[in-house]
Amino acid sequence: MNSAKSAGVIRRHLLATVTASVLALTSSFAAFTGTALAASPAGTPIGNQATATYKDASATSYTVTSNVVTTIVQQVASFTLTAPGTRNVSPGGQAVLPHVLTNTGNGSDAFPLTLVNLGGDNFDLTGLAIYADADGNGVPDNLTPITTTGPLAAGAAFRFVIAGSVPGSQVGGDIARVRISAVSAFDGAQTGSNDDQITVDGNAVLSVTKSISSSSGASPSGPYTYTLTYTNSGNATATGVRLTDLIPAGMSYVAGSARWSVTGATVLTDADSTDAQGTGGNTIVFDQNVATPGAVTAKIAQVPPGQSGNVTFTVNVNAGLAPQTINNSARFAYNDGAANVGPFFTNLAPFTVNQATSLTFAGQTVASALQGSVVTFTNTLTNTGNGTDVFDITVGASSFPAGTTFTLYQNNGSALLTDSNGNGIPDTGPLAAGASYNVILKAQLPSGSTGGPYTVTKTATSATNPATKANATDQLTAIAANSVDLTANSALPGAPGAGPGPEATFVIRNTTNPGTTTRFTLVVNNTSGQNDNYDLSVSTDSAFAALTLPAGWSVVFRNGANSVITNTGVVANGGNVTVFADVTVPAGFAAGNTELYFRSKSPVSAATDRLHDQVGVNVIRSLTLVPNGSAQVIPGGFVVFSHQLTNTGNVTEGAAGSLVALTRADNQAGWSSAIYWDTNNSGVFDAGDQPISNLTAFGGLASGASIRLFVQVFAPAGAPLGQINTTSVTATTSNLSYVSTVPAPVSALDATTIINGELTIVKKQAIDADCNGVEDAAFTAVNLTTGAIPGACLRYEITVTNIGTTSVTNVVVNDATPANTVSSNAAAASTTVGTIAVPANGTAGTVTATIGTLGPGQSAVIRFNVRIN
Amino acid sequence: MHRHISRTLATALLALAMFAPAAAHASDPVHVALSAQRVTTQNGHETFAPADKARPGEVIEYRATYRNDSPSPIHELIATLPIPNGVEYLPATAAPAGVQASTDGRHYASIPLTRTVRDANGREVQRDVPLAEYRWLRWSIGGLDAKQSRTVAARVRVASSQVAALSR
Repeated sequence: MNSAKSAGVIRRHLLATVTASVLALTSSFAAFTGTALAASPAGTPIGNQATATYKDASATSYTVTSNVVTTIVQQVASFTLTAPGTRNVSPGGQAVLPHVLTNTGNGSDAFPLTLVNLGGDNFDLTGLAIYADADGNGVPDNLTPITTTGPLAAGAAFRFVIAGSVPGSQVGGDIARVRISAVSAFDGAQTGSNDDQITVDGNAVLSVTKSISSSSGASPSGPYTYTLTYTNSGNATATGVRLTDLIPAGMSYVAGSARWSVTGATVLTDADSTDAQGTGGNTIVFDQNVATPGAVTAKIAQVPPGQSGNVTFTVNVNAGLAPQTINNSARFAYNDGAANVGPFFTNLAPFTVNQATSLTFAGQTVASALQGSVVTFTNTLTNTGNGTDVFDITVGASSFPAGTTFTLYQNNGSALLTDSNGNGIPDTGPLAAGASYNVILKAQLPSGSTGGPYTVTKTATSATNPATKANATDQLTAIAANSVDLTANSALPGAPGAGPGPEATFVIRNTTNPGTTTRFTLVVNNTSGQNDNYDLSVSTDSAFAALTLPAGWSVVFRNGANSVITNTGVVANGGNVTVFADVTVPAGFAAGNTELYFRSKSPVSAATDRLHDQVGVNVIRSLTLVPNGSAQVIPGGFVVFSHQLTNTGNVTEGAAGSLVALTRADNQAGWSSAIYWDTNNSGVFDAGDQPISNLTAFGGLASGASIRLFVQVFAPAGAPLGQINTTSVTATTSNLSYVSTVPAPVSALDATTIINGELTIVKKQAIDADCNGVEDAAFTAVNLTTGAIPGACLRYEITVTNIGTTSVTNVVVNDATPANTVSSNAAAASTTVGTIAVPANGTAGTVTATIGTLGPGQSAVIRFNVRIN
Repeated sequence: MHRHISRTLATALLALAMFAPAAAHASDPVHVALSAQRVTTQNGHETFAPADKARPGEVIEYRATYRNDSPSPIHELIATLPIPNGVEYLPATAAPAGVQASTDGRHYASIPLTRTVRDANGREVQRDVPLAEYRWLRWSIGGLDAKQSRTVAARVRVASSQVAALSR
């Protein structure tokens, strides 16, 4: 009963103490316990980039991004200085009070410190000085006074103590006050100060400092030893000395770890708050989490003047702590021989929980993507460290095809990953411990590549500890090749020519005559998973090593609107487009089959297919024999007519396949005639020319070729004046190996009139390329093979000669501008005898030379120009 | 100091340029121009200055102008303006009206954003999302005729230095 009652008293007393301590903590220490800056250190670039998505008229979706605007965060200065302190000091003793200055600005700064005695009190301290206390144990690190904090990073804290001596002449109750002031070197307007109060105490004066065996460590780590060192610098024995130390959050007391310097290795009991350990008057009552919840409490019976001692205990740092500074101060109270004093606080003993950096970074495998498409890889980065960290992302080794471009995006997949910490490398931005972030990598594939697998490695590097990094490998297993199927006449499925070409045998055969155009209908089927377009081409080479066509052939591709095209335009995936190939076979092209290969090939993806078709050129058999002639001859004379026999078909006539017989007939009795060919191709009948009865001797007449035939007509000596003989020359074809229908026989008729006088007429030609009325070369009777181009002129020369023995009168020479020509340079028309009339320049019509009389042996030479249309 | 900042900025831009080509096509018919202006208020008048530098607590106005340079209209134009790390959206400064906001760039909703949390009693309650967590603004502009442009704007405040108190 009695003990229960006294326990209740104690509990009430403790409750009051705890409440007071919490309030004190709240008011005194909360402001300077943290170090984490929210954001925006000086020099941080804040980059921004707007984006937009939209659709065009075809409902295709696009994304565009803006320029980047960047704002550099400027420095602002700010700091806190804590805390005002009070101390009891014996006469002649030294007062030491701890302070902490924390740079709460956003950039590095330095803070000059000044320490002065204040007025309005009982005395001044002597030997005022400021000393660094980097380990925060409340004791100067050395005896070198300082006047500034020196450079202090944003968020960093600087610990120091002020010290001053109480003159030995002061008596108990005297008070001295001092002021410690600081100012920002960056911004002199930022100032702050603490006022400390020192009270002279002629009785016991106990000072307690607190320290920890290591100033930093990981989470978890340990054990670490806290040491509470007490010294009685007063003149009386301190009794009832009570040390209370709350074990800070994040640390755990190690059971049975407490020791007292007086009892040495004796374990101080944790569980009993009433057992006195020690001998004589020097006893200690120690407990943990009994007298004060969450605290160790040591009650030391007495501390004589000048005596020092310490209490130690051990803690471990818990797992899973964020990087932070754990500040911890102990509390002490005692009876100074006259009264109970306290509680007082010791210095803070800071312990820094180091940041542990680690992360996981997972790649992604994408099974398939289309050529030229954008592949999106989502890589989950998880901060498995114990604190907020920033991770730089870099794209490393890649086996993707050349031309692939990689772009890093933020986790929404639309904004570019930017740099948030000013090191020039895109990063995730601050990522809290345990948080994940999806880094999006987009690979723009080159349009022309297929195959796989391809991999790319990205590296995430901790900005806090660049040695901490992780790789994530993304894999694209395959780039699905685009494909196209070129079919004939209809679309897939089941269309002729479906499947990869070229087919071994033709799919479609068109037959056509020379000089005509035949149309093939082609269907380009896009069998890919995306839109594509295709160049169209044709060749007789199935491999398309070269685009070759037979001489004179032309092929044009047309779309449904009949416009000439070379490319299909866009063909939707799974869709098709019908195009036409118009194949023009030149006139006279030899009969036979020509294999044609059509090809559709994407200039983007290189998807290709070929289609095998065939053009059959029909057999055309035709001969012409021109012109008909007329001439005069004296009885017993002869005259020679010139004819051209031309093969206007497309197979050789008169060789192995057929026999072309040349026959002649005269319709007047007594007349005779003979057929020769212009063996030496001189254009005139001369001694070298051979008789001919069929084309076999000539070796046959190829398609388009011609042979000049001369027909020599002899008039009988007794032929009457005015008799007209008609000589017919006929070419008759009969089949040898050929089976097709033979061409119709062709004939030329030559009319020969018996006269006394006799005129011969010879026509020759020459090129006059610039139409100046002067022939460019000598006139010739042979065919002109070059220079007769549209716009050029032909100049004709007609020579009329009277080879008879008497004069010929009323000679008129009639000619005309040939088909496809018009009169040119009429002024250049001339005749050596008589007059000439030609059509006006640029018109077609008759040329008439009125010569009049030609004497025996006399000639008239007529010349005029025509221009080829 | 100034030189250092310039170099940092140049490095940052270079890095962006290295990653930019896939995103920026010269042939894009829509162009986006983004500007940042620092806004200061004096005697009730607002003054705009270049925002290449700003101190914590100062206000920056972002303006993004979307211009259709193509000869034909476009449709379903959606303008997205990020709120970068280090700044905080100022409420009611987004123009034109109809803006939506997002914290993750994927899920957008009208302002103010709310989310469901469990209170101390385990009940689900709706709470406003802190403005500091707004990271994206989005406008559905819709159609834009040829040669037309639209501008969206919003203001942000450069995050102040703050010291987060940790428990003892």
